[in-house]
Amino acid sequence: MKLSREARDVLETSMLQNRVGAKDRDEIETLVAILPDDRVLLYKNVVSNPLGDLYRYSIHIRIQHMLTFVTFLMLAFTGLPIHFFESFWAEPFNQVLGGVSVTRIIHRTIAVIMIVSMIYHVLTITLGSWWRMRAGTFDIRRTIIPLWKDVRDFREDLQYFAGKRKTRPEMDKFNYKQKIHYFAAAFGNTVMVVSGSSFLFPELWAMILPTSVASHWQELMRLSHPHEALLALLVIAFWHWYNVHLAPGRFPMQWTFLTGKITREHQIEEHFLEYLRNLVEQPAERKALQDMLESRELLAETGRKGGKS
Amino acid sequence: MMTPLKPWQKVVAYSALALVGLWTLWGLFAIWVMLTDPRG
Repeated sequence: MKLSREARDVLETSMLQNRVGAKDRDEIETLVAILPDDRVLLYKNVVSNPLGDLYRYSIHIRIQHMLTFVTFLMLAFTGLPIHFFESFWAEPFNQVLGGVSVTRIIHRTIAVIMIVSMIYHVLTITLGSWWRMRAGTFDIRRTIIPLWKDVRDFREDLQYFAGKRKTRPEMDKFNYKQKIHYFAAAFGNTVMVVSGSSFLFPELWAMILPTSVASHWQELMRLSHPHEALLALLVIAFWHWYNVHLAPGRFPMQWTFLTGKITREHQIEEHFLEYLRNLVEQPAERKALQDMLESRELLAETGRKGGKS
Repeated sequence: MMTPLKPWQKVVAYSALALVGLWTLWGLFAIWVMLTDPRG
């Protein structure tokens, strides 16, 4: 496979950061050279464990995801009967929990746990980046920070889905879709925390804000809180859950949030640049790939196309 | 090519899917409630 300029740069940076020796470098270069040019052949033929083959998320990120998703579901579940406490359907919900005042206490307690999870996350990514910078292994392309490449990837992926392109773009550890989702969630959480805190501490917000703004603030927050919640609910139910449960290759569930690992197939299809780093960092993966290429007769130098089905 | 799920893995995965399905119903109910809210 002839690597694109971007892929070549990612590979070189990774080999440099991991202080790869001459023997390993030679092994990696040889392996890359015999990869078939058609990446689809690769991900259609690799054997993948649905629970995941390649490391992706640390235990900290998995705990944060778990905390966020449990608190999110519970907040949305308790929030609706609080907002519509006078409705006929809300009364039984609130009665089961001990009345609307108890539902409010539960809602606020869970909100505190969600905020703790957010702080935990910010600390994790900040300290993790700082640690990598000190170790000389930081690479901005491997982070969730949006780059111009994401705009191009977005365009090329749309072209692929419209049938105007043969393969999907070579995307990095976090692709454009995940970055949009991540920052939408960060924005949504901020709106929810700010608006929720203005219900709990109205005097505090009145003190902070100029008088002309403070008079409209509460009204604005009362509109923002339920509508942002509805938006989040739509995004989670119809976008995120599609991507991790129903999308081809993921059904019935993607296990990454539990195991912290991604399947080989998924990594090559949607995160090819990260897969190149996996080849540098994990000699066992090189062996697995080499064995697969040989057993499926996919070695580029043989000139044969089309693997065994 | 994905290796098949073991029975216990199927239980976990399909239970999670069922939970997601049920919760989506709650989501649809929430959308209906909010869109028909006379307060706007």
